[in-house]
Amino acid sequence: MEVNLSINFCGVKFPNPFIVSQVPPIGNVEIVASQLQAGWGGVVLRKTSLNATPDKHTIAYQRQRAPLYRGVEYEEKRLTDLGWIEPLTPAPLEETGRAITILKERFPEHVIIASMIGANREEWLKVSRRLHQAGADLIECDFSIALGESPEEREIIAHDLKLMEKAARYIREGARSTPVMLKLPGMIPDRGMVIETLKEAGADALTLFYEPRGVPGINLTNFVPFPNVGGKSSICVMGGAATKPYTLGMLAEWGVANTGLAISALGGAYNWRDSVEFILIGASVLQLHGAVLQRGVGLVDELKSGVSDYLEEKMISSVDKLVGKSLPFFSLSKDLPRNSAVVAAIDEKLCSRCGICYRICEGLGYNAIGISSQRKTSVDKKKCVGDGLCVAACPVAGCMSLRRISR
Amino acid sequence: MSNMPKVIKGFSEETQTISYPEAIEEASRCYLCWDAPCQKDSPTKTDIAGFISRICSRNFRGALRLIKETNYFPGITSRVSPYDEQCEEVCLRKKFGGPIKIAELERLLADCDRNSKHPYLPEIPESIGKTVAIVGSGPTGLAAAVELVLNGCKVIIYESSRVAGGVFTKGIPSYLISDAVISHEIQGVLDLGVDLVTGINVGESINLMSLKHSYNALLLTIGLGIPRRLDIPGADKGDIFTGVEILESLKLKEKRLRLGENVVVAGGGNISIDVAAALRKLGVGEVTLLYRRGREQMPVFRKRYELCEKNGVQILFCTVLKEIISDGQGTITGVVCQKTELKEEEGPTIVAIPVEGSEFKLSADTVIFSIGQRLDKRLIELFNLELTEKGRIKVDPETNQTRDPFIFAAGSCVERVDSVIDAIAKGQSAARKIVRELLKE
Repeated sequence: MEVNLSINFCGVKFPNPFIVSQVPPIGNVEIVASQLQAGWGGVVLRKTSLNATPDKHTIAYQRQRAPLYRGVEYEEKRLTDLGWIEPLTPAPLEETGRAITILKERFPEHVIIASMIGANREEWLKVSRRLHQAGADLIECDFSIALGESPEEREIIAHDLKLMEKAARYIREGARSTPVMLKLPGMIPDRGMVIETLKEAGADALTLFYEPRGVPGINLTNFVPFPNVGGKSSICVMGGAATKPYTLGMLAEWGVANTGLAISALGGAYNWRDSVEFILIGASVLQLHGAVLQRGVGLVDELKSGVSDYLEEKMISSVDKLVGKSLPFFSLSKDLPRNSAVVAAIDEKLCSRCGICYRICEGLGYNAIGISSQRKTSVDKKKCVGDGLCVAACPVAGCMSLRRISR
Repeated sequence: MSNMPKVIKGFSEETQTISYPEAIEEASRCYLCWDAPCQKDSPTKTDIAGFISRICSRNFRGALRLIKETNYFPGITSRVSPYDEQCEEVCLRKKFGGPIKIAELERLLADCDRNSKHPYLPEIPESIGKTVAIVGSGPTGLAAAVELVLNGCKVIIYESSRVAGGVFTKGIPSYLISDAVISHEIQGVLDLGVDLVTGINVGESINLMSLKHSYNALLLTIGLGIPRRLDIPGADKGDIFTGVEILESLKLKEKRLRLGENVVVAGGGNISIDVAAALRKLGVGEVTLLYRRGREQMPVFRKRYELCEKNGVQILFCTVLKEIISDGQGTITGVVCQKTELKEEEGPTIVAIPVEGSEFKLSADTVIFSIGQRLDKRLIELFNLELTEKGRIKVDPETNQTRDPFIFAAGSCVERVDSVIDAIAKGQSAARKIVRELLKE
């Protein structure tokens, strides 16, 4: 069965839903070209702004030789998450314009997303117009930041609905026929209202991301939080595999409120399974950053093969049929159909006899799992409440499950 | 060039310790089972899952402390005791990618402690005003001393030889464990305030009366001091040694051994295979080991047996030594062996019965007896103690007391001890019983 991975995203055709997101401080045309060469469906270029000078900031950051990133590790699992101090180093508009033209010539089939920031009418209009002229397939404007000296002092456009509407209109005007995508922090309130307003203002799509601010950890020797920049630290932007459940939850909340904007999700997807989950919960395309840094541009082969093998097995002909498929299953917790009953079941062939399920059930006070002198565990169906904590704690995949029983 | 003295340079330890990243990865494989079977199977009841989870969270000092609370000699035991047949054997991850390498994790912690500026030293509780004398400074004696100190007793150890440690210092070839590890862990005992007197024969230099006068209890952990020899024709002359002698001279380097190029080792215990492997490592041309039963009956550690095989020791099962042939000058020229037949008898024992007419000759120039040791009876007679029919000291299993309630005994002089960790566990248990008895008074 031929599986179709291409996806139509507000009129733009992506060969596959996987996008590499470029994050400052460094980015050049050759790196982007190599990513498209490797088979990524599209790229998001570095943010550009009207008044950016040629890489003044980049040079400053490089000369500084100061840490920006800090991995989060949990016991032996390294880099479960990543925190970084975001440097604001927008690329100059002309440079970006030239890069778009070069890339578009070399990769006409791939999607080049130009990313911009702006703070006033002139910036929104001029930048979007230039990007449109250069031939960008999509223009993304980041509403999660506005110009300011440091992230803490910046005014976030996304916190002001009126301002957002105004900005969206100007960008729409400047971008002409090019679809416009607005990048919002996923945790802002009044989602239905935001969607309606932005749609009205002419937006075609949203990029949603869950990037809570965080501290990746603290050095227990000298008490300085990570990353240590000359003995001081700053609260970071967090991203990475550990944010996946939060991104999923955020997407679900937007997805339920959504009425026709295409959604692009950023952050938290590390493998094809994550990607399918993101798509099922309403994202049409995915922007990846941390995973690409960690695994290299070749990661896209793994993602594509994972998703197409999955589709083939499920006998689904194309990936766009999956978009939002899980959203109808959400319900308020009070409306959950609680009359269907399940109890825990143990696969004896797989059981390692570790007794962890016994310990957990005893700890919860249900005492529904018994253990014999040979360490064989068994479920007392009368006592089991089917809450599934034992299933979650069992170290052997597939050994424990919840089975439906008739009441 | 046979029978030239072999200069023993000593071996250097061949164990390799895993690195911290590896250790954390290995530790995180642990299920942290409920009622962990590894702890149950550990002779000292060490909280293995506990120390592993501390490694996971990188609390290495805490992990070591947890081990040392129940086993004061982790550096030694993790090298020489058969963890692969004890706690690792019952590890529930065995089926799922192999057992957790408990010995290696423990060794890493112990080595780290040894190299640290402030090695672990437990807090010593308030004195209960009792003093216990221990005779013999082997694993049982040392472990008992630690346990007694940690229960508030004052301890003095008497050791007949010049160096303390018993089997630690004399019975383990250096390629398994370096002297630095042993001396560090023995020093750890002395750091607790235990007095050690070496080169003294209790009973002769100090009599029982004066012992009773100075101490509240006496613990005999004298082990089995005298190596057995086979009583066969020709066993009285020529280059005939015992396994214990060989191991001892390998460790105490001043002794020179006159070993030939063609050695026959009689016996199939751990000492026998250690001796055989060590001799091969020294460069002895041919080493043949004779054991009267089969491989399954051989009471040896799996890993040590593999080491023995790897070093090219020729092992003849179901074979006994019948006669040693020597020429007129008393030089051994060969041995006569006899095949045996295995017969199951009542109980778990399998008896080897020699087969008539199956004798065969082997050429040899050196013979080593390594068929076990027996109790040194001198002290037993002096103290007028009772013996069991197996020739060990008879004690009350409840209290470890001998016929004389002042005298306690523990370790291999009382019962069969399989490994160093087993001996440590026996010493600890005896010490707890002594404290209990002393507090009764």
